[in-house]
Amino acid sequence: MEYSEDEKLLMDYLDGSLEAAGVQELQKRLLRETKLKQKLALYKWGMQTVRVEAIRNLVAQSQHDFLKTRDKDSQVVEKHEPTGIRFTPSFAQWVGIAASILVFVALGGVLYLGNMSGADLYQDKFLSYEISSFRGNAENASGIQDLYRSGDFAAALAVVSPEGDLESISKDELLLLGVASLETDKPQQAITYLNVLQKRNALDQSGELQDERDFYAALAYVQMNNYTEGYALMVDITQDSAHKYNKNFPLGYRTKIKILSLIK
Amino acid sequence: MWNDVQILEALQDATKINQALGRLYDFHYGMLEYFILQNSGTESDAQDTIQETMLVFVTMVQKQKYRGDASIKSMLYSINRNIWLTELRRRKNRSKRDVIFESEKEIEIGDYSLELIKMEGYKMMMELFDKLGKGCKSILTLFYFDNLSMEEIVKKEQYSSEQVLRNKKYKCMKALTAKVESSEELYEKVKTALSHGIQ
Repeated sequence: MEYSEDEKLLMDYLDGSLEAAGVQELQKRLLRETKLKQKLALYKWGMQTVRVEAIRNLVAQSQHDFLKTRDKDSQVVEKHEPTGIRFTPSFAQWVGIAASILVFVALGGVLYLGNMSGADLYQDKFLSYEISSFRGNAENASGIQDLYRSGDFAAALAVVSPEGDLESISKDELLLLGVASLETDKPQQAITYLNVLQKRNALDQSGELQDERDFYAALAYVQMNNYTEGYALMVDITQDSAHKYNKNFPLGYRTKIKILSLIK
Repeated sequence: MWNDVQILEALQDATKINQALGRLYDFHYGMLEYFILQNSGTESDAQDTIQETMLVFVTMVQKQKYRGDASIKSMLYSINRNIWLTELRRRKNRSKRDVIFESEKEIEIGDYSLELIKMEGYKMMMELFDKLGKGCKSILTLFYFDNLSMEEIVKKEQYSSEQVLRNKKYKCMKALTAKVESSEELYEKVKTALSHGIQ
């Protein structure tokens, strides 16, 4: 496959191996020669394709390895299952077996739940709050918003003190401080900010960011192992069909929290 | 235990990318698979969708299109969901798709729709890349993905000189682009998908 001088030039340009004078000359030509510009785009796509293909191969290999390990693990479990129990129980025995299994499963469930931590349950449902979907924008963003947007949650929290005067903090910022507290494993602090937001809403009857407040407060309570408060909020959220997070705490999850509120 | 920042850094480091991918699969495969299985998909659908999700995600990380604005978990969930919705749409399973849209719309994040469109263009070009000879694929990958210098590739692939290697690389790249240009229809499709600007 032969290549022209122009093609060689374009590849060198993209590889960064063209000398400065050549770059200037080529850039001038690219401004006026459409075909050359199209060719340049084609070579860019080619370079990027090579990179994407390499990533695809690595991903495929990783997935293959992961699934292989997972299959092997599940086979090990299967091998240990008892086999060949050969007797035919009577009806009464079947009832006994079923009752035993139910008791066993119930005890196992309670033991299993007893070993679960609020942190695990919190992680299971936590969703990052996206500042891109926030009503504020980059032009009028506050320091807290900027720091939150950059992912520096600790710095965002350092802007104010939860014990200090929160009067000047907007509702948007209170929510961000609440979520930033959760992101940095400070659920108690998250509750402080989220409750101030709640009080403001009660005063002005606006309901602004209330759905977000409820969702993150529920998760904060779960993270603190305060399942009673967490469950109560989850029920409120689930029963309100218009609530933004209405589907985020499915029945199975709520049941776990309810049981934990009873046993812990 | 790896955190998001460590995973993102490792995904951009050729020596650590495999480890980082392993962590991504360990941490998130179950969640992504669960979503597909709960929404009319099979295990096989889940495998295909998750593989593409990971590809889109890692490509975005490497192109600096994702810098941790959302957590990795949220981002993967969102990409996975979008790819699966597109697949359901392709299968004309409209009613099921609408159900997912209605129940999950509140967790839509980020705008990576362009990345998904571009991925369609890359898929077309990757088919052509796969048809290149083994030598060509190796040189181009070592140069453009592994970022090895010409000198390093000469040693690794045992070429007689850098100039010989350079000429070979020109020819390989030309061969790839010529395959795209050989069909006007294909060229237009690739152009439509990728002409949003690659960087």
